[in-house]
Amino acid sequence: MRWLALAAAFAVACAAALPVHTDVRYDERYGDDTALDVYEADGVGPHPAVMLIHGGAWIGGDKSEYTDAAKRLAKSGYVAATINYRLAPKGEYPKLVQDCLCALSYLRANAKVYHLDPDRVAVMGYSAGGHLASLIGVAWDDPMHQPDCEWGPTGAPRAVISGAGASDLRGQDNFITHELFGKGPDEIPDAYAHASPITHVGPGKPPYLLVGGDADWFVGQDQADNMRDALVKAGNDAKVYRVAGGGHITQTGIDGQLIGGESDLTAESWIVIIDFLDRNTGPRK
Amino acid sequence: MIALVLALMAEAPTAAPPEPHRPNAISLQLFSLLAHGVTIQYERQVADHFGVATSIGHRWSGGSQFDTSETAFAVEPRYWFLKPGFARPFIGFRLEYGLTEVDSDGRRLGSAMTFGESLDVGVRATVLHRFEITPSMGNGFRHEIDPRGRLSMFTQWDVFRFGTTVGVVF
Repeated sequence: MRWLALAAAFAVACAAALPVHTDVRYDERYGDDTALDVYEADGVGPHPAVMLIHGGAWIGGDKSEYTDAAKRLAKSGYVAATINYRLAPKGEYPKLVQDCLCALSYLRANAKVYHLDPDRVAVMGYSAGGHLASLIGVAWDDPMHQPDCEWGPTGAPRAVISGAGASDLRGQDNFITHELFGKGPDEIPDAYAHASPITHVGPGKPPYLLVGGDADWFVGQDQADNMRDALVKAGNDAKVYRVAGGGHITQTGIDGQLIGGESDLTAESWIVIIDFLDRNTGPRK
Repeated sequence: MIALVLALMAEAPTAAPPEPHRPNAISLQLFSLLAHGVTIQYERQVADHFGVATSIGHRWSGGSQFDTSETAFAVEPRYWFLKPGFARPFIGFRLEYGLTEVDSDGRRLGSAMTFGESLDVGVRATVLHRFEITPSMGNGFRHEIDPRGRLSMFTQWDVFRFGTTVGVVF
C-alpha cells in the first residue's frame, strides 16, 4: 500500500504542469510592488487555498522566495498564491499590512477565476512575512489596516502559519524597525504596539501554527511562545513547532550537515503544516 | 574550502614523513549535536586513493508540543588526492536517505522520506597519527516524498552544505 502511495506521489510530481497566473496586479496603483502569482490546483474545485507572504525584514525579498513551496502546495491540492507587497520605507507600516489584506481580498473576490473556496484561505509567511501573516490573523478588522484598494476589506484568514515571525515589536529599536516605522519606538510607541500581533489577541481568532528554529538568533523563541500562550489564554487554538538546530536561514540536513534554508520548509515542518492545513481548511479534492 | 583543497593538491607530498597505514576512521558529525541528534560515520580506505564513508544518524525535534524523530543513512565514495599525510583533500559523491516522523498528542501527523545526493569536497587533518578533523562542503539536491501521498514530491537544491567530522583513525 505504501508503495502504491509512493507511485502516486511520483505520478503527481511528473504530471502535466498546472495553470499558473504570474505577475497579476491586485492593486494597479503600485505596479509590480503589489503583484501576485497564483498556482492553481488540479480539478474543478473549489479548492482550499494558501496565501504565501515572503520575508526580507520588511525591506527586501520577493514573492519568488515561495515559488517552490507554492508549486508543491498546488500539486498537493491547494491553490497557492505568492504575493509581493510594498516594502519599507515606501511601504512603511501600515501600508504593507493593507497590501496583504488587499491581496487576500483580491483572491476571495476572484475565487471563481482561480477555483478556490473563499472561506478556506489560509495565510502563511516567513520572517517579516510571518509577522505580517500573524498580524492579519488577529487584526484583519483593525481600522488602521483596512485596504483602500478596489477589492475592499475582507474577513479573517481561515488559519495562520507564521514562520519565525515577530509577535511583539514594542521597544525593538534597530535600523530595520526604523525603516518599517520611519521613527524609533521611543517616538511612536503606539505604532510599534499596534504593529505587534500579540497586542491584538482576543477570543475568536483563527487557529495558529507558529514554526521556528531553536537556533534562530534573529527572532527569539519567546516571540512564538508568548504569542501561542496569549492566543491559548484567550481561548484560541495555537501551537509552536520548533525545528531542532534550525536557524533563521540555516538548517541541519538529514545527515547532520549544516545547510541553507528556512525552518518552515524543512521535511518535518512540511508534515506539520500539511496536517494543520488539512485540519483547518477542510478536505482537498 | 575549494581553494584549500586545490592548494593542498598542488603541494608536494614528499616533505612530510610517511603516515602509518591506518585504513579506518570512526568520527562524529559535529553539527548533528547542535540539532539534538547524533551522526556517526565509519570510513574505510579500499585502495590507495579510494575510500568509502558510511554514516548513520538520528535526531529529535519538534519542541514541547510535537514529537519528531529523524533517522538517516548515507554512503559516500571518496577519492583522496594525496597519499596519507597530515592534511589530505578529497572529493566525494554522497547519497543519503532519511525518514522523518512527526507525532503530536498521541497521533501520527505524517512522515517524509528524503533522498539526497551531493558532491562534497573536504580536507582531512590527522593529528598525532590517531585523531582526525575533516571539514567539508558541498552542493546537492534533496527530494522529499510523503509516503501517504498527501504532499507531492518536493526537490530542493542545497546551495551549500557544510560539515565537520572529528574522530579517530585506526
